Amino acid sequence: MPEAADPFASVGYLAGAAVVTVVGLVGYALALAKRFAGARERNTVLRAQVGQSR
Amino acid sequence: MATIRQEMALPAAAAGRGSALTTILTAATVLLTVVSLGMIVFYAPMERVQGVVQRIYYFHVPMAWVAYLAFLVVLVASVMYLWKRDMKWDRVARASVEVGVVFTTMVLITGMLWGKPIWNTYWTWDARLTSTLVLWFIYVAYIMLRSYTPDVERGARLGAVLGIVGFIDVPIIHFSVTWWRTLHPAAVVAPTLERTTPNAPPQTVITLLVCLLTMTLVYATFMVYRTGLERLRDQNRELEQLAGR
Repeated sequence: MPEAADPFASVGYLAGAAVVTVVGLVGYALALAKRFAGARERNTVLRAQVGQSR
Repeated sequence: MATIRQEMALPAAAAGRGSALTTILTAATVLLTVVSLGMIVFYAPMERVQGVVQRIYYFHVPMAWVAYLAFLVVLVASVMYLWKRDMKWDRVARASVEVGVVFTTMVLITGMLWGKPIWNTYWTWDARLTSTLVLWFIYVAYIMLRSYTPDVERGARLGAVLGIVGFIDVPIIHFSVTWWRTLHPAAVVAPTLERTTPNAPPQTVITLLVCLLTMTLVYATFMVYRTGLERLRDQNRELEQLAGR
């Protein structure tokens, strides 16, 4: 267990894993919100187009 | 126009107007995330051998659980799609695959960050690690298959078959630590063939259970929004056809 005995290294790995988790979850949530906004905008445009063509 | 509006009525989440249930789910997820972080830092006991780095366990294991859950949902939704041929099941499968891949990616990375100080290596071709990597490849292949298949019905059919066959890897991952000699440790809280009670202090078990609940809520919240996005995209495809006529 080479680095587990070193408290500073251990805290570094723990912090790294925490950052990966937070960035992963928050990043995915933000990306999802962005894709949602894009799809909704496209939906509004298409509805207007279909409405005009009728 | 009124008919189109009725046919294409958006779910609350897809329309961006969170329903009361969606709002409660999102708020509960945020609240429980804060509680979990507090418990990991202040309540969970320090592991005697590994020290502070063992706390990675409280997000690594729940994310692995959510990945299993996500691919189980894919399995069920795929079976339901092949049986009923209803696109709503395909939407659930598509959404759950993506969320599952996100969680599996984080399981692999946090596992590597835990492995380095404990095993002195980020990666080893151990049965548990290798089968988890294979799982990641299977469902990345699912996403690629769906992206490269322009025929929606055909893509849904092929995806459903891959979603069912791919799940075979989940029990292999779970039992890999008992079937083969691995560097990855066996479960300490979940019951095994040898014991029925947790092999860990009660604070560890309670913290883990709270973190499991939190990650499950995170998955549920993502699924509500991700399924809504798939529905919106399907509607856009139909509207494009109508507009092109």
